[in-house]
Amino acid sequence: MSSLRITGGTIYDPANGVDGQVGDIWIVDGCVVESPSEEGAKADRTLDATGLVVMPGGVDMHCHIAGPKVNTARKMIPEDKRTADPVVRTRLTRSGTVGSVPSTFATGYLYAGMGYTTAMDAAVPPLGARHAHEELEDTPIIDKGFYVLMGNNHYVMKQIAADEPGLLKAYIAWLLHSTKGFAAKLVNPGGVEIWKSGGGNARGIDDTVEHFGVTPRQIIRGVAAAVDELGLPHPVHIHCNNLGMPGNHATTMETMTSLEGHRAHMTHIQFHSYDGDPDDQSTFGSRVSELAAYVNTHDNLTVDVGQVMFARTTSMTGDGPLGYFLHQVTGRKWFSGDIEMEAGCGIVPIVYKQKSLVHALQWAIGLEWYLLVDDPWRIAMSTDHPNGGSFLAYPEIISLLMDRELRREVLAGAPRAVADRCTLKELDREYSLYEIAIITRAGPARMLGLSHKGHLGPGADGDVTMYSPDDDIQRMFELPRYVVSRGEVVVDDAQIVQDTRGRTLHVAPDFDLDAVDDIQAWFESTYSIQFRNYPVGDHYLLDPLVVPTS
Amino acid sequence: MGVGLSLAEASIDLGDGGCENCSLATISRDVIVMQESFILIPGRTSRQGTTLNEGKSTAGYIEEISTLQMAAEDMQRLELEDGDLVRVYNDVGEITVPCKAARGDELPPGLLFISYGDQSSRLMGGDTHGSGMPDSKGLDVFLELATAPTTTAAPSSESPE
Amino acid sequence: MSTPEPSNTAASAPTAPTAATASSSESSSELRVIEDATCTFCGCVCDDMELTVEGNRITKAKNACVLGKAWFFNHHIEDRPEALIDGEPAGYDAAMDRAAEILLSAKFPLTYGLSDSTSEAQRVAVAITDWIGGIVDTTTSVCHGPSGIAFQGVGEVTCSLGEVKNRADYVIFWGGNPAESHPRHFTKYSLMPKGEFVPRGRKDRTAVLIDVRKTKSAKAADHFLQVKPRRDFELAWALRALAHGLELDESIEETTGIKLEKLHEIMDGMKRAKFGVILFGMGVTMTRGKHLNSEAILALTRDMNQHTRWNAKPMRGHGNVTGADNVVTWSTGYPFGVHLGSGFPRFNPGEFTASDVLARGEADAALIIASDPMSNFSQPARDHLASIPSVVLDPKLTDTARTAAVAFTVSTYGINTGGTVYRMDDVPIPLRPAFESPFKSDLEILRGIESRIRKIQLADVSLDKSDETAAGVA
Repeated sequence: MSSLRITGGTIYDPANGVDGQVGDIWIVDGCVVESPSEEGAKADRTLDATGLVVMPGGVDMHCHIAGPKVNTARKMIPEDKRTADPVVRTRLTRSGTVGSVPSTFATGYLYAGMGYTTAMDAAVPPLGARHAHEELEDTPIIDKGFYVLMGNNHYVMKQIAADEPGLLKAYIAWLLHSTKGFAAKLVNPGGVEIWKSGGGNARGIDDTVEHFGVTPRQIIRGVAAAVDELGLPHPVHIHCNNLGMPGNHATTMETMTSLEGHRAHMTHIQFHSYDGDPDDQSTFGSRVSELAAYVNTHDNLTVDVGQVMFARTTSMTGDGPLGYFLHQVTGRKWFSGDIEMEAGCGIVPIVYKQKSLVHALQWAIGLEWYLLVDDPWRIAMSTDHPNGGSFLAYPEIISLLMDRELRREVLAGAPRAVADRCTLKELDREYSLYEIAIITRAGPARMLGLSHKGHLGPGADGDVTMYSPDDDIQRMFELPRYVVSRGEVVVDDAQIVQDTRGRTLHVAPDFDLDAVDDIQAWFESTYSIQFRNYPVGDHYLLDPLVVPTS
Repeated sequence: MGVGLSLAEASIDLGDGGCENCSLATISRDVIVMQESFILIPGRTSRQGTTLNEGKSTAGYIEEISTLQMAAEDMQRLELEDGDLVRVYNDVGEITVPCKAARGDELPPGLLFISYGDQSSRLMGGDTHGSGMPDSKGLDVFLELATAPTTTAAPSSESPE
Repeated sequence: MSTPEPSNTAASAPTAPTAATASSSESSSELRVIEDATCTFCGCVCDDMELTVEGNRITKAKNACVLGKAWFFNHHIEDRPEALIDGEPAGYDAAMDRAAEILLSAKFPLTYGLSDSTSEAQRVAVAITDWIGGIVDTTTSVCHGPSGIAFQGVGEVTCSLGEVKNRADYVIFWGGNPAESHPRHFTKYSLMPKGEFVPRGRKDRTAVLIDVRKTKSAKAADHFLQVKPRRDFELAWALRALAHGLELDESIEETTGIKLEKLHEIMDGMKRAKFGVILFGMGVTMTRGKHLNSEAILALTRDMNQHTRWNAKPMRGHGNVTGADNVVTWSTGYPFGVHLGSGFPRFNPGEFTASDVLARGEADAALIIASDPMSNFSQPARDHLASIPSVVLDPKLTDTARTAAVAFTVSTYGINTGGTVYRMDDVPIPLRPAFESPFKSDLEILRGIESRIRKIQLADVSLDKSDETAAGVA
């Protein structure tokens, strides 16, 4: 039994309605407990948090930090690391490199150093699940997991075409079991298969994927329904078709309406909110207002933003044809990796510039989202790391949300036309610390269905971040004073003082065993490995946590 | 006065590859010897792979990595027979190995093949030209019958007294 | 239970199942059949092996090719000491103590090899190198390192082998002899299989072989292009030109050995294909041009995507060299030739790669795992390696083990011990060991060395970080 008392801090715990109250937090054996009623109760260790802002540990619900695609990006762009400060080995901690795709040890330390204690990788192909788990085991401190790509899965498409929702549901459950994944992910549903088989793409959700005879609309609806029936903690996680194309707001709206009330999480929605004509970049603009209005009135939906920041970064996505498109537009080196029966991948280095009209609009559109969605519980902060920018940019985004003058300053440095094509200049809203705590921890935890995360009430994991208040908000959030992970102080005054192992979160939904025969028959006639060698064995996860279905 | 010529002095520019055979004469104190230049390709073979597992000190493995394959046409011209020992050398090192005619038209004239291993590695230089990969295939080498007396072959040979 | 274990110590690395946990029988003379076992001899990493095990020998290896059979039948338990220190038999503990000593006292240690080892063991090897501030390089640098360098320049358009099996209707083998180096590749992945989109298998495919020799593989091909030695670069660029619709003149035949007419024929076929793939080998990376050859082929493949779908795949040689690339990359950010001596990873082929660091006499100690550089490296590199203290882990008594200061006899991955390997197309596959070995695995030895190194390093600092912080104490 080890106990930690965090005393006298100013607590922001929105899930429990605590808005800047001074109080204590007690953690015993890694879990938050009720503060003891006896006077003079002592903990093994006490942290004096007087004057510090205390929040639950941050929760990043959409980033790319582990697995085949991430590792390929690391390999491909060595120059990205040469100019970045490396992570230097210390007596206790491993070395690493940063740039836009940090190495695994660096990833864990940097997230922890910024006060984040949970991060979920957004897109892993099932065939690479084992690889993702190996990398996550080498990603220290944070709790983690990943979403499993399904939107271009051949078996999924077959069962939808054959109108076999039972088999579809069984397969999704079996797949999550076998990969020890956390959620169902759709990336450009149907579109990646079109790319793999002939080089085109889906242009609308009613395009047909030849050979399978299904449409993106059917894939979206089928998987969303199955996920709801399975009672998975997190809804279907959707990267819509037509990412990045001018005029794609229509696809996004169609996608949202196609759900017919099923739960869904619309990811990096900034990239899907554009006005204009795909054949004329100069018509690029924002349609956030109407999309946000729809989100505001449909509580089956949650979003994360996918904020663009002005910097050199890497676009990496399961959206194979998008990678090809970016390569053609930028002329930069390009990786594409098609995975049998399952998925694709595209990686291209990219630079977002404040002086570019399109880039600056993308930046503004991201901020519009934060400012136009009324309910902070349904919008999560993200940069789609590293696609829009590094997760290290979160403190800067926080400062932009809390300070409208700062936004206007940056806007003033962008091309004049930006202000005409979106509403950002007029938006006065400034986030409070309470709301920041929602969009960076409490909200994402709730969206993920993680009842032990994102709050500081009894039963919560003892993940706590303490910040020194600072007028410079960015600096305040960049350098927490203390970070506690499961009751252990892991960061103290910008140093990692303990190198711990985090837990891997996954689901293990029940599935119809009778369906496995059909799955196996299909698998054995198509894949290039043995059926028995596909599922990930228990020994790959040293400290797993199964999150129950409802 | 000595009549020795070092190889470097007698050398002809071979150009950038191609399969030309150049005849090079090196004059020793006693004997004029004809040498041929070739391009050596070390590579994997099935037998090298299987005997490798049996052990690198087994007769099978040693035989495999020591046997030099030559085009029948070249062997004929040089009056070599299967099993004759030949000396293969370049500015890096030298090996003495038995030769054998390649199957059919597998090897074009001017090319030599040997299973990748200790022998072929002796002809590989230490310089990787900044790539990490030594020159491992397409090596310029000279070949001569091993039983003939020769001068020293290295360019830095001593001048005859 | 309440204190999360540190993630970077040896003790906490994952334990893959060993043969003992894999099989339920205790009797060593019983006949067992292991299904879905994985062969790790070449980069095909076939996982459909059916091994018949009698006692502690594999007597049948159904589905294995000639190389796989040689692999399975020749890795027995050898009657050798568990370790040698300066050539004299020693126990594991003493040997690990000595190994830690050698590595800690070195100023410029080199960790090399790793390609015939599991990812679990590779991770510990990289950890050791990080703690001691050495260089870590893998057999990649003398295999497809040039392709890795090329990939960093132009990227790569590629796919998993199941995509080749299911879609490829035009297959080019360049600079390789799969019939001898990857014997099941044609039948399992690239030429013969009937796939979802190539239902007639071989009949639906066109195969091209490009090489300087007319090897056994040529029989399998529809077109054989006998390229002039050291002219792969020019040939790749000629095809790039044709892919872009540029005119070439007849002199291309003089340069490359291939008639212009033939090049046009091939390019036409490439453009009309629905899904093409170029599988390239050492004939490209090891010859004049090296990474420039690989780069030309990768760029050609990329360019072809303007016409139709094309992919490229380096044919990796060893069972887990791809795993080594992956492990070194995720741990350090760079794939091979990584210098950790300054306290953080630095990458520079030619400067930090094993061939160079040895040939130039820079390394002053070496940790060699599952590799035999004393057989395969250049003479200057080998001479230097023999002159420095080395710690060697190998199931066999190789030349490298013979020259070692400390040599460990370890069990064989995939035969005695489990773990994870990555196929040539980055697909991670588990191992199913066949029989136990009295020898420790390389994972166990490396963990033992790491924990000794860490114990010494952590004891070194006299002031332990106190539990009390300046901010306040209860």
